[in-house]
Amino acid sequence: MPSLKPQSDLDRRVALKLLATAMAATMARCSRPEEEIVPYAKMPEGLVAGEPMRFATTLALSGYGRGFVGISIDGRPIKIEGNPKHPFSLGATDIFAEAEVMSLYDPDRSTAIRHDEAIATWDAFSADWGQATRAQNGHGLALVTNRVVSPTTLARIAAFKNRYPSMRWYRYEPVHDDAARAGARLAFGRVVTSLPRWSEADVVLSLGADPLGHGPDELRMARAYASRRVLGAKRQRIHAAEAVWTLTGAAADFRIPTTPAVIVEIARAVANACGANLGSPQIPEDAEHFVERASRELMAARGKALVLAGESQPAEVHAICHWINAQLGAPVDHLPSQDAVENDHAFELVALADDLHAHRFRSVIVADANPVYDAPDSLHLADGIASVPFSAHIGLYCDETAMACHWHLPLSHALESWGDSRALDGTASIVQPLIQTLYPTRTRDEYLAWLVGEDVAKAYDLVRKTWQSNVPGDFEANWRKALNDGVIANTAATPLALSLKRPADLPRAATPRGMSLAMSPDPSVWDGRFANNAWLQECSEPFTKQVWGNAIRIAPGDAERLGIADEDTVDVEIDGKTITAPAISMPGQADGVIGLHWGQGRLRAGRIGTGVGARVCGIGAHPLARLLDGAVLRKSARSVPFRSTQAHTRLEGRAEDIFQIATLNELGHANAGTGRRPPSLLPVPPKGDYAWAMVVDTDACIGCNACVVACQAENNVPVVGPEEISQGRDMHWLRVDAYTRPHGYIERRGFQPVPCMHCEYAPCEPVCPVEASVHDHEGLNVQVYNRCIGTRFCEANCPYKVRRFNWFDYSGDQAYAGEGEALKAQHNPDVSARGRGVMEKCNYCLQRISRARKAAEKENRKIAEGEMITACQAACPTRAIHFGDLNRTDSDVSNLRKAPQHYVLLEELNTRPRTTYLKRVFNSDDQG
Amino acid sequence: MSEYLLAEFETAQDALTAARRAQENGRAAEDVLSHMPIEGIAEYLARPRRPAIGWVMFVAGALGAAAGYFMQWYSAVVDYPVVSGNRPLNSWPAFLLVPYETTILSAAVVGFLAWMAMNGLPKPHHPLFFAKITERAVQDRYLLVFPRDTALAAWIAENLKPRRLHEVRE
Amino acid sequence: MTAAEGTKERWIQGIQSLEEINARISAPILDPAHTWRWWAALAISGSLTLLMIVAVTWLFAHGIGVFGNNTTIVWGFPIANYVWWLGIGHAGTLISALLLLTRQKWRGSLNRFAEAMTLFAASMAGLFPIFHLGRPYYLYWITPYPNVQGLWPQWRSALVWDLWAVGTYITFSALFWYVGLVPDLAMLRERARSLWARRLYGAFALGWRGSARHWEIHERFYRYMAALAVPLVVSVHSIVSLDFAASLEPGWADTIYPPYFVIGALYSGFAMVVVLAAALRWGCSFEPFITHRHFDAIARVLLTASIVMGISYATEWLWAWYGGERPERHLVAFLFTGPYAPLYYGQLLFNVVVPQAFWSPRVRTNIAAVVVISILINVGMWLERILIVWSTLSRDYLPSAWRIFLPTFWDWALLFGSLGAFMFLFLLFVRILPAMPAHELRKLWIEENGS
Repeated sequence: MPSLKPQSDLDRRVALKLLATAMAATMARCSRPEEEIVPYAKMPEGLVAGEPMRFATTLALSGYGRGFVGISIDGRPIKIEGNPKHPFSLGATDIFAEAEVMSLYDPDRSTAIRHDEAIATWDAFSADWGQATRAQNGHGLALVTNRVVSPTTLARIAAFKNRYPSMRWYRYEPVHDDAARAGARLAFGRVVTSLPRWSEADVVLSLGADPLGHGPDELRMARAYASRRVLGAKRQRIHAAEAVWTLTGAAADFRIPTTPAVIVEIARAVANACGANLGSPQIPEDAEHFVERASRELMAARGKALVLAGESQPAEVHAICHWINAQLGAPVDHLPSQDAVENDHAFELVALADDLHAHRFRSVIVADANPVYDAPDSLHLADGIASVPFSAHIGLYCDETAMACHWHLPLSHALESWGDSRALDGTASIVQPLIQTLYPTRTRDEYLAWLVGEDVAKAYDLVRKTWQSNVPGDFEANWRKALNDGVIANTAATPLALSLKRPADLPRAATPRGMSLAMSPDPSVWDGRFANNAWLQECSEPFTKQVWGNAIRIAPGDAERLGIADEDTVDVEIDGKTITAPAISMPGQADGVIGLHWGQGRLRAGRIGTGVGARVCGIGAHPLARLLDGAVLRKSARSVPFRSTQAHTRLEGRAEDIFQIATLNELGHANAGTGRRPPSLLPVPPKGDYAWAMVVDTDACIGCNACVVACQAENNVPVVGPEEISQGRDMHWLRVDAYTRPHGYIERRGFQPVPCMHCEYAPCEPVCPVEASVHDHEGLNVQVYNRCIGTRFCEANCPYKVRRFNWFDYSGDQAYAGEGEALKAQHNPDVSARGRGVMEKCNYCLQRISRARKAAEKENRKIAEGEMITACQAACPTRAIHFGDLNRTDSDVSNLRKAPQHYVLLEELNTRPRTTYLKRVFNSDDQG
Repeated sequence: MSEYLLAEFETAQDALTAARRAQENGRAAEDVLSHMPIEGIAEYLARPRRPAIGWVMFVAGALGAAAGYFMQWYSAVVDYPVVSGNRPLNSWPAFLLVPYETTILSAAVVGFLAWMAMNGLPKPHHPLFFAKITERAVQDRYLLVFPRDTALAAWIAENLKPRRLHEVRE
Repeated sequence: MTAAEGTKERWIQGIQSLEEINARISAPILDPAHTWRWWAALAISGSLTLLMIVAVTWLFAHGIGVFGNNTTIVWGFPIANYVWWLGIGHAGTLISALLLLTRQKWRGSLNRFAEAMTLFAASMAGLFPIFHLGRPYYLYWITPYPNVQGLWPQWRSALVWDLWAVGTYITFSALFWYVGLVPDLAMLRERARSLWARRLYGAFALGWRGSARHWEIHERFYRYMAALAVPLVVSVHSIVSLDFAASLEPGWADTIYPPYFVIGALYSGFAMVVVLAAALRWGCSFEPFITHRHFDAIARVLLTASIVMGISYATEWLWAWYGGERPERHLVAFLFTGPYAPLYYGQLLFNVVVPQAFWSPRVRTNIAAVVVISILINVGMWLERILIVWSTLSRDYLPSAWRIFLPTFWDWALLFGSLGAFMFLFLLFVRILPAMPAHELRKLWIEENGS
């Protein structure tokens, strides 16, 4: 058994350089799959050199499929965009989808069959497999997977069960929904998937839920949320009670930090208000007003009121919320769960461990799952698997579980696989490859088929077979349409009519011993499966802005009590297990609660992700828990650096110049139309064919970072790595500034995406000695890389500090360049790579503008409104980023500039930015 | 074939009086060699002239200023105009600084050249260097330079009372 | 001043004859005494120079990422060093020109080596903008030269102004210095024993023979140059200050900057002159020429400058408060309370408080004391330069961009390396060229002693 010792940063850096060459070889395979794949929508057929082709495909998160569009140029997938036709993308993306192209080209991907670490052959494997399974109908054979909703895969597993009748299939998902499942059982007597119709709700109460946070449902929810915040729409009133900050909490009008125990009492109070009789709720004083107001408003909004419970809440609370929603006639659909397995996830994982230690198996197949990392150490899964004579792991990486198994089989990446999947509501879509497999790999379905002896089975045929059987009508036509649209028509499940049980009694939460740990998946690397993705490692946590690691988030009160300063390294001890990480205090977090993200601290992630951050999921006896009690916090002897891209989140009293907040009432009084500008001696800017401008709606922005990663992918923005981040350097052209400010009596959190302002009176231009920073005729402030000599006067004189400097050859062979090198295949050919010593920055996706201009000029017309879409704008799930032409008086941006909540960042400097903002708006207490 | 008489004096004062007396008697010295400037002695020399180096420098400075501004105006307005922070193409306030420097630069450089030209420098060879005594002229002595002539020599010894009288021949 | 007055009042002391002046001045060159001091100093400065060469090689090989700069504080040591060195470079020409125009007798002993100092300091200053560039090999792009892109420099940029100002300044100072040297080179030509030395000095003396006609033109030209030098010197550091003042960053965009920079330049320059004067006095036994009175005179200048500096600082605080702009106010608060506060207090202590000791005549005439204080002033002035760069960039408009600068080894290596290189050049200078203007001192001695 090889050691699982993490590698050091240095190894990582060196290794990345060496890896560069490995990638070059694989580029040879950059060609379209042999089977016919069908271009998205109205794109011309046939590959035009240098012209982007768009293909609809499906990417899964926690098993559930979301439809996206892959852009590929000359046969190379370079970008993921949303698929407007898919109900769980609606044209938007999230950071995980955007980063998949990075994972595709990840040089650390597993590329060969291995037997005990050494490269082996198919024959050797099949011989061994035959050996292991001869003369047994699957007796002592276990299959371990994550959540599976793909019809084809389910068919393969069924076939597998046919071949080996007494095999046992264990499925678990690290980011599971056990509490919701149990709650549904209590309420309806069966497991259902409850999907709120958020946009129909006037009042929402979130009890530790995070519908706007990352997850399979984020994009749909975020769009619905935004739909109630556009000008003119009747605004939704959101109440949130939560222990640690969530994106939903940051978006709420009214939020209180409370311990999970108090949240149970709030549920009780609201239930009683709806007529249940669950005993008197014990609400602390500071929460009374919140509870009273929330219940009142919920009652008043019957039919348009909604209550949501979070995963960290006990099943009973979920059940009560179902009941409350029923009383309120809440806009929620209850659908049959797509999750094929009846057992809960944690239960399955424990069962697997027990059976392993009871030596029930002679062979184990782990298909695209990493239980050794996911399960707590107390289950000793690694030893358990190691004790099995025949063990094989199928996966993208040689990860922790691969190390525990004898055999490892390399898995194809989604972007090089045929397959299918279902969304939360059952909407099915095809996984369409954009490229032939880069390495000799197979898809999960192909392996499963192969394991039951269907030797030559190709994923393409397997998928078609699945759908031939259950799509009525002309199959070829439907198949083609399905590939075109990225969704298979009318596959969504119909809502169930369910009879609701009387509210069971709601047991009082035991008062926690010690401090409690509130755990949630990492907002950057999710459950750890993206840990080796450099884009995501360098994508900052929304609130702390931390990158390359995870922090221990504590309430300021606790920090003071324990004498812990920000960035101190602390130990969290629980049941003898210790987590060591830098601490950061979070105003607005509940006292006595410690916030932790799992997904970091990988032991075998690859050269990027190994050893970054602390492993959280290893602790505790109960696997995959969201909430643990009895934690002890103390300063650590070790020292772990806290790496963040933003040191200050306080506004230092400059809110009115920088991050403006208004209540709906204040907005009413605000004088609309900010046509007034500070006077200037400078002449009026020359009027070009277009006057490009951007308006960013900080009210709609939920801080999901999708725009940041989209920008990185579109513009070949390099990753600089942890060492450089610690030096205070980063390269993101678009950053999302996180601000916290007390507003009235509550702590407000807000997000402000900051690209280049493209000032009409740009301070960066006159100071450049060599005309590298100049204005173009369409009002863009452009940077001519080849002219730049690197005086950095432009950035010094930029009040917004949006310019980024290549201190090293980040895109070449220095710092994290090995990674950059390996990613050449991903690079957007329309965007030149920047060398050492030059300044770079956001240019409103100039390459897209000129593409649109060419298209328009061919038909000799002007670029139409909404035709030119920047990468960040395309990605945004809440449509918070607006882009267009100010020369059109009717354009979106022109109208928004007249809106009452429109403002200019640092307007008093009179730089006349083309990028402007809409205020963050909140409902206030008084208006109803 | 130039030959000289060098009348050596102890102090600047003596040299000055001697030079004046010689000039009054129509026997003005060709030149004076001294280790330091002697205020006003040049007027008593034969064929005195007022150096015009000041004017040279002034004109050079004026031209330098004009050239400096023209270069900027031509490049920024005519030859390669770019929109820079939306400033006017001819941003005259910003364009004043370079001419300021070119003024001084050209005045100084041209002045230096004039200094050499008017002094006839560099001149590594001069008949006077054949006289051993000229070594002292740049260190601590004062020498009046006359054309070589026996009568004149006698007159000098008689009237100017030099410390010593040296003859230079090549 | 006449011989009648006591020797105490004289600027040159204990000299019996003109020849003795010549001998003493040419001694370090023609027959040096106690050379071990010189060799020791050369060894130290030489190794520092070597460090600088290593640092520059490393810098060019790896890129300016080796410095401590970051996304927000894009400027760092090189800019501060540039401003600091150029400031030091100001004293020489200014002393020389200003004192000449105002007919200050004590100029004679100082101007020659002060001008040398100017040249060397300005050269050091000139190097740093190159080290600072992301792509140093394209430095020439900011000069107007014919190129295929048809591009010109962007004349609105303060960096282009810098090029012209510093270029002019170095050229000018070199000419001024050389013209002053010529008569003394002639002296060396005559005194040197080896044929090669005679030829070399002869060549550079251009055949100067002390002709009265030459002296007349020389005097005029020298005076005109002095008249040009003053506005030039003032313009150079004013333009350097525009690198900051012509921006819109808080704490930089102040109209006080040009005068404040010029005074600061004078200040650090005079302080450096003190240090070098003491070194010369001790190393070349120039006691007769560099007397307590000289130190006393410079000390008075330093005292005045320190007061002006104090007023400038106070003015900045007042404006920040009175102007009421939050970023400006926050910046001042940051200076006093932020992580750089110790440095800032050091700056105030060394530049404003300590020099007040010069009120006491005993301190002014105590050479050791004047030297120590002058060194502190130079440290203080460097702190001022680096803080001007750091504090504003660390705390400008958007709190989200606020960061702190952490210097690296290479930052320090270049700073101390440049100090070494400066010393190295100066040491070579005192052994090759007359560090005192012989002809002026002879004139002065005669004025003071008659005959």
